[in-house]
Amino acid sequence: MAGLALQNEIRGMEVMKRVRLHTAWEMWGAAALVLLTLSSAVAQEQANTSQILTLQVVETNRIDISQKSLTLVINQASLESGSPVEAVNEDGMLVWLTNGENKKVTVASNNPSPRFLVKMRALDITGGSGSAAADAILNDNTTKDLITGISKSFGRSKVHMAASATVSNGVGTETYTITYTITGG
Amino acid sequence: MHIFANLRNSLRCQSVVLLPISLIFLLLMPSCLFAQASHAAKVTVPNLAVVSVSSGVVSLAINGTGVVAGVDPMTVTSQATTLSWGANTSTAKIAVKTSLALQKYTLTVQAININGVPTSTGISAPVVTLTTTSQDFMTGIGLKRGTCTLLYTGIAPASKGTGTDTHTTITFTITN
Repeated sequence: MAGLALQNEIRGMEVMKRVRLHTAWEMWGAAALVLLTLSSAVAQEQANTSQILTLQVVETNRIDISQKSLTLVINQASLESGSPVEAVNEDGMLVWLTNGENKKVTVASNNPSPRFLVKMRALDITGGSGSAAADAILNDNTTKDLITGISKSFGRSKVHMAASATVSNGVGTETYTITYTITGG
Repeated sequence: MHIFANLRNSLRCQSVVLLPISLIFLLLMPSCLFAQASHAAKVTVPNLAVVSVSSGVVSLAINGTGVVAGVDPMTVTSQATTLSWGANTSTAKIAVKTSLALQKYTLTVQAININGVPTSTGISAPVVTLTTTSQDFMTGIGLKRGTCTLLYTGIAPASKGTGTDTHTTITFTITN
């Protein structure tokens, strides 16, 4: 009996020795893996630098007219009425840009009491926003609406300009400076 | 006389023996008189990478200057700052990203006026639209050092209205 117990004890010790050996191998493997990972991380060098950047956009409105000078000539009369036929020009192209909201384009003449009648309106508006106002009649030098309801857009339109005269106005020449403005609506 | 003759003979015999010995001694003298030692010197250069901006703050403003009626979007540029770098591996590159996730306006950056040492040949610098994801800013910078101008372009369509984008951190990372 004592011999059998001794044999069992020896066998148990051998098993324990194998288990310890196996555990040791596993630990060595894990350590090697950690070392490998660390070494590859160290091998790749990185460096950083940084900046703070501020991009500010303030309200900007721009407007331009393609035709800087134009001449309207009234040189025909209606056979029916006998009155002079109005002269029309639609060659001018108005372009604008605004990043503000609720804007409008206005027009004003520098002539406070014109002899002949000039009226104008916007045609073929493109650009996503803006509507043509009623005919602006330049019968004084006050500001009139040409396009309303423009918000955060860029666009263009033709400018329809018509000049008319009555027989009693006689003949002559008038020069106007017409100013287009994009402004708060 | 006999004494002198003996002495002469003796000297003659000695010279016959001593002369070759002296010659051998002279030939071997340096190694006999000077000691030598040596050691191994090992120089290790690991991967090195440096990158730096000339200023930590950049400001851009779209305030109407240069804006043309009917031309959209509005843009503004800055070339106020420079970037310097150095890298000692052939695969080095610089990436860029911003910390601002929700941008109202578009911001691009490009390296221009690249001055690479020993050469700028092979360096590629595309226009990068900044996002929070790191993107290649300069490639082909390996085994070179140099400087470049940072060309920032702010792009604001009219439809975006007014406002301010603050990019708290625009990070340039060099990987070697």
